[in-house]
Amino acid sequence: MKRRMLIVAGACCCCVLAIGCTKKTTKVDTTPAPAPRVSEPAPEREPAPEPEIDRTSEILAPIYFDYDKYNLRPDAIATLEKIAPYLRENSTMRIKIEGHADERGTDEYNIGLGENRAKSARKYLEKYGIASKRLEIVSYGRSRPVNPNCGEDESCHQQNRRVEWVILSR
Amino acid sequence: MMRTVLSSAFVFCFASSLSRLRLPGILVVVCSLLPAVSFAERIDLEIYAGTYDSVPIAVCAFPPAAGERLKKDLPWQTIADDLEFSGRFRVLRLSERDTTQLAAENIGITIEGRYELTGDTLTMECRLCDAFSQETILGKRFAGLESESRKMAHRFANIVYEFLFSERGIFESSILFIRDNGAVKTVCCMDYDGRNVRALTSASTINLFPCFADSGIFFWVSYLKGTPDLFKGSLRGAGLGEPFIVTKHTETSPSYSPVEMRLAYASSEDGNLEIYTCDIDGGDRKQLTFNRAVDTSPCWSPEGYNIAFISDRTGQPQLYVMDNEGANVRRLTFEGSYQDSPAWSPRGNLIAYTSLRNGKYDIWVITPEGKDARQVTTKAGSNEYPSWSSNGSHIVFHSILGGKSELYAIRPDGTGLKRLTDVGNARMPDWSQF
Repeated sequence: MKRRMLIVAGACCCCVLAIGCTKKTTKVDTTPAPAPRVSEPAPEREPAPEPEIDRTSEILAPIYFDYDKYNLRPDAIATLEKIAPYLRENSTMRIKIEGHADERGTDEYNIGLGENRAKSARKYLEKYGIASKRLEIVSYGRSRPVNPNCGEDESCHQQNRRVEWVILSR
Repeated sequence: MMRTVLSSAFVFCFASSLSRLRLPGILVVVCSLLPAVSFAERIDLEIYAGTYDSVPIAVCAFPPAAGERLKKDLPWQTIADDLEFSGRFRVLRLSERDTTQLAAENIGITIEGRYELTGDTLTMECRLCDAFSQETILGKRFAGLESESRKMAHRFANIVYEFLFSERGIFESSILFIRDNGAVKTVCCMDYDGRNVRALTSASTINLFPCFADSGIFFWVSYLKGTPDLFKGSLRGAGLGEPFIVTKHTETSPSYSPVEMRLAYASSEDGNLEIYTCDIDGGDRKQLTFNRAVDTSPCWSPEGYNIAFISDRTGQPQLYVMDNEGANVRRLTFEGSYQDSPAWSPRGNLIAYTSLRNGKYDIWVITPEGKDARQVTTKAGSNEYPSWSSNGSHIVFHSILGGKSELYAIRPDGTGLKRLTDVGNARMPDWSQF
């Protein structure tokens, strides 16, 4: 009895460790040349060890938008068409959809634009039958650019007009 | 240079200089018993202050009585800086009183004084004087720490300003703003002139849009709980602020009305950003806009009847006004494709806002009836996010015109551009009440 409990306890510990290790937001971007995003550990935890390679994060790639727009472009839809079935398979996974704007808008209005972009993505996934309570939304407006100080560089600005995905729980 | 004599003015000035109760009958008797005081060459301040657009005034360095000399934050320089900033004075700075220069510059009033510094204790006497008779028109004595010398100077500058113009000065006011360090953005406070910068938040998160309420209370937006939420803090408290309205939706862009004692803000709890108001405790919430557009950036009118805001209900963000219950919505801006961040002048006659023209953001003003839209900032750099001083004399905004993001002040007619900060990353200012 005791031994069985030890095995179960050991298995639980392994599971917890595994979940802890994979609860990362490291994503490998497959879209043209954006900077790889390094995840930021939660403030109260120790810096994490090297994350294991997680093929699923290739699927949760950022999607990009036109200037001052929040409609889904064909390239965005192509990415969403991979994300939707992935979320259907992993039916307990909850994600956070982060909407961002580039630095050329103003601070206050861009909160609204970032939110509209996140909502566009969420609406698309809901049409695929993903429950809305699995899809949380946050807008950062222009406060968290991937590339600050783009100046006149359009492709630099494009990288900032995005929606990104954070796995909240599996 | 003849000055007209007004005995009533003399009685008033005499009374002020002694800081006594004014009892005209008795004082007239007292005056006549005094040894002869020259009634000639006596300045009539009301005429003097009213004659000039920029009242000529000399500020003379204060000598130390005994003890040590002040090495920095010289109070007479701070007083001179304040009076100059107001735009209502032509200030001549003198190291000592010089009648030739006073006459040459047509100066009728001076600021003079003296101080004593022992250890870190500072006592100081400041006087507004008639330039030629050297009579004290009004005088104040201050005592405190050397580190409070700027505070004393700002106080005296306000006393002089109020005495001459019968309205309150802004020299003791503060400005809240954000220091943007990328992933961490901090709410800070400083004196209106850019001195005494101090951080008010310490959490490693994104903080935005600080906004003064009353009595040192302020609101701001924080991502501490995962989405943009409203937090509340106090300049006087020891705490670091507390959650005010926290939901999994967006709450943003707080704006406070001291007359209504209500906060306006934008929230997406109804599906997209709409304007709401609530009381100072977060209760009695009222939704004011109901549409599928982004409605945000609310700003109260000074008497609390109306709220200016931004809406993209026609496709792009434009400036609107509605009453404080959400009725009587009217659009103000019809030029330019993108406006944001309205700020209503405390004088009621102008609304400042950020406007995008020809690819550049600048501060513009427009009347609350939507007329006479006029560009205020004209120099380089993105110029955004206006906030008014509480007497309507100046607008503070953030700009990258110097290469880095700093706060600048400007008058609504476009004159008097002055950089206030030197921190490299200052944004989103809010100017306090007096």
